[in-house]
Amino acid sequence: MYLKQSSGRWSWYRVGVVCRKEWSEIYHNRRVLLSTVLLPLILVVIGTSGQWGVSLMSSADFVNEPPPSLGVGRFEGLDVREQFQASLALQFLTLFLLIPLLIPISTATYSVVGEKRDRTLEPLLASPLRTEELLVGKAVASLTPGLLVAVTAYVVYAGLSSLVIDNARVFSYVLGPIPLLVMGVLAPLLGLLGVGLALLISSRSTDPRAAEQITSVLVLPLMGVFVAQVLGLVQIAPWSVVVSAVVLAVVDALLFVVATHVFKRGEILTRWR
Amino acid sequence: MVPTLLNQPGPFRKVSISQMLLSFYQSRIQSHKIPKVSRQAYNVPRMNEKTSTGIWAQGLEKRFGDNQVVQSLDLDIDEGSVYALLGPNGAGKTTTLRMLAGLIEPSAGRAVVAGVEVVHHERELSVLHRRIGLLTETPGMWDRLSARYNLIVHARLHNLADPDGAVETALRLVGLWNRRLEVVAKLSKGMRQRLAIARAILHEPPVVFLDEPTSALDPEAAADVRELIEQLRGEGRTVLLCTHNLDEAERLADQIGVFRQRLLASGSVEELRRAAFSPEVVFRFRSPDDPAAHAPSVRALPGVEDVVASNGSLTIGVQNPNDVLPRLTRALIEDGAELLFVGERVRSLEEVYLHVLEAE
Repeated sequence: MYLKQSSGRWSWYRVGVVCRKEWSEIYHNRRVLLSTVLLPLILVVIGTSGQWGVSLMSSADFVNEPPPSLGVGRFEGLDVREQFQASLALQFLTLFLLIPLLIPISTATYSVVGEKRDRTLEPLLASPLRTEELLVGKAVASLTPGLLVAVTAYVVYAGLSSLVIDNARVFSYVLGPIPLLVMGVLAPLLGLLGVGLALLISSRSTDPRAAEQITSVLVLPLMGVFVAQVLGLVQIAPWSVVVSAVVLAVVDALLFVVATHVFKRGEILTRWR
Repeated sequence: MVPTLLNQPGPFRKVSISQMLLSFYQSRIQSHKIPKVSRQAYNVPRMNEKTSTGIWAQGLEKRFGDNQVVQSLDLDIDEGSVYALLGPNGAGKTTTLRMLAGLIEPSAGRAVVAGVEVVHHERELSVLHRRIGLLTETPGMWDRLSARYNLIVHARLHNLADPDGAVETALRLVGLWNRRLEVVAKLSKGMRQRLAIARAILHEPPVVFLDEPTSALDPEAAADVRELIEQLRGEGRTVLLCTHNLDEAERLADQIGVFRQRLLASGSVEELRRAAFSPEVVFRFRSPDDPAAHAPSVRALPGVEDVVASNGSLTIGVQNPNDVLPRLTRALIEDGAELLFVGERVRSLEEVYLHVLEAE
């Protein structure tokens, strides 16, 4: 058998092999596949319906003292209906962040716990694959479907919303600098956070659902932001997105350092049970 | 000629010219049989360990907290041979295998496998893993993926020049080529095991570790696997086999190690027999001849250690059967015995194995 020369150095090719294997497994796992499709579908339907419902109303339909969730008074130069549409757009932007967070959590937990349950890790670790290559392969494979689906779903939502939003300034809250910053920077960082924690928690769990549920606690801060938005306490602005991105990047980096220390070959085999 | 290694303290050891020549010779002509040197006795690693395809370990230990799983293990397995590690459940066989395969870091000791020192750095392990094949206790296949794709992933991880060709060869070898497109979940236990064996030998490694290779197989499939192991030996590969199947070990292994936390006994089946039991010869008598009546006629003969009469036969413990057997036979016939059978008693490996374990 002819083996190509290798010095045991880091290989992106092997990372790619792991990635493709993971994607094949996700594709053949109906439960994970369903969870990948269901949440984006629900958000697109609700988001578009919400914008469509508001577009059918006139400013006169709104009560004299609107609740803070309508966002009235926060967007100067827009009438009441348009302000509500803009506010709704920013609230849904937060909800769309659930996709890159939850889907990678689901795929990562199944990827790790599934390997443990089927005892497929040992042969993999006995191959020339390095532990970091395995982890990066799994992380990238878990992250990408969630990100891809999130972006696709958001593009569909924005496309449908463009049919019911007349004002270009209002539409910029659906597809403009803030949404691009959120989906382009915040979404991948949130996804990485979900994957990192899912890998860590899954390494101590034998039940994928339990691991998934524990990791899903990550949703709470995001839901907190959503509730604060509804209550009019916070508003998504470029500066808040940048600050959040910096904090997330630091947390992700720390998580990576912890993960590389925790995932030792011997640990994986003797503790991943 | 057995070379003399000077066991000097410190990192430097004197090496004689004859040794250097021997080392050069060994590294150039791998297939040539060279008298075995007991490295344990000299506490010196093999001269040609960088080119060897055997397995060598010294003082290998593994502790999990207070639990000592493997204790001071010395191994010296020749390239191209089959070594069977026998031991009860929980004896530490799988842990030993994992240490040698670089999957678990030993608490103490060192090992050289397939010419590569087992060092727990990712880069070195990656090199080691290109030179070994491992069949784990459970097949560990990705159930949702096809048999072929399972192997393709490993072929690519090994960076084989022709992954598709290697997978086809391996699948044909284990008789699963026609089932290659089926998902592993649909394959029988035996087929999965055969697939796992195909994965272990896919990259044609010089050293193969097999943990219970026939445990899930029906007799026909087990025979095929045994044939495959013979073939691996024939190709000059070194095989370390962990098994409970004593018959399999006796049939396949050149050397056997009885293991429970530490190596209790090691050697060929014949060597183990000789170490565990004194040689015995058996005389079976024609009924109604009474063996006990003839016992006094042989008890006093030189070389006889023990005489036991039972079930129509005399079992006589001797020092050297070749020397004593003709004399005993002559004495018994002169005593009027009517003999049906005369021969050396051959102890089964099971008897030897149980004896070694009980002796501990």
